[in-house]
Amino acid sequence: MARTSVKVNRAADIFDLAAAGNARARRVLKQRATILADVVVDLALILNPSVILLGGEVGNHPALLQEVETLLQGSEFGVVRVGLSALGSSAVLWGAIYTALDPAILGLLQPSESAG
Amino acid sequence: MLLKLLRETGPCSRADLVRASGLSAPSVTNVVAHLASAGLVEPLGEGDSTGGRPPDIVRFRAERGCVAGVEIGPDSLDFLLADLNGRELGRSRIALERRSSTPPAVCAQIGKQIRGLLRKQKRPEDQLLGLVVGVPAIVNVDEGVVFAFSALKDWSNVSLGVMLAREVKCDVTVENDTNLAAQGEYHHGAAQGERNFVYITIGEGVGAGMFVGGNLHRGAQWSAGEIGYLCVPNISREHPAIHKHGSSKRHWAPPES
Repeated sequence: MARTSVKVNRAADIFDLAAAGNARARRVLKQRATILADVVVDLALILNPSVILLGGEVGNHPALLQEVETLLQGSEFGVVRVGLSALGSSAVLWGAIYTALDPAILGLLQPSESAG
Repeated sequence: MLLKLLRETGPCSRADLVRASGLSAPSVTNVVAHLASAGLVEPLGEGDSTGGRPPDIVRFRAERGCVAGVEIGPDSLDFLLADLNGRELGRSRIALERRSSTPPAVCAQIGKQIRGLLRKQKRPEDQLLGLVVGVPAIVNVDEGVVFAFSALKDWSNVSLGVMLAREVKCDVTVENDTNLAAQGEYHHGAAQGERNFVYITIGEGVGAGMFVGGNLHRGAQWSAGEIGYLCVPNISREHPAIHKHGSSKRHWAPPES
């Protein structure tokens, strides 16, 4: 059977191909989603979170989310909502800003002795 | 609490603050005076009069200072500058050469870039009130120490917080990048109002930032959430070692074509 070769630049391209119906890409997506779904259930059993968000260059992909959601169906507990990151590649930077804000404002309200 | 109200709802009158906070009018006046002396609020003049005495409106002075966020990646440094309302003031990115990016070299680049961003905003350096840096590594947040960052040169037990404090005049916090991403989603993204949630990142690395009971859970040795070392079914677990990728992470790598 002849295999058509497809050029892939980023890992997430494979998920785009899978979403477009490429059979080989679908197998890769399914295998990766299976690993991720196991991790999601492990985390759900230990922490019982309300939601698990998928982020990162590869993780923040609707096709991956959909596949994981399908795999999670049928569990009676260890159930958790899975969603995509809203901030994408800016999540770390916004987290840094929000981590900095409250101490910065508190610092202005409790001026150190050296401040005039 | 009043400050939170002013930041979230925008300018309001003292009477509004009394109503929304449940505090007495004299308390509100006291607190507003304290905030004004710190330069955090100012009177906005008189509001629309609907008869009777015009209400005096106060506003939060988001321009009183600014904060900066930095993301150290294996291939780039990303910067974000924001005012005290968390409104974006400026962004920039510079490429990193992996082999020459020693901690002192990266710190010098961060200092230079932040001073540049402040200059562009015509803000003096003492306007910067906080710097938070995200690193793809296990970080002792109390001490500002990065345990190991294998993609760059000489990044093992680096006192990054101390080194960066020489570059800027404000408080410096160093944190694991995935933990910061979870903070971002909690305050400003898809996890607002969720007190128990997990943010999983899959990209150059694999990791998780976990909120338990409304707080980030970092663990006893700062390594909570290193899920790249979890066992992958049908493959026996290896002993986690910092310079070796875990198996669940390796199995995320793109397939050989």
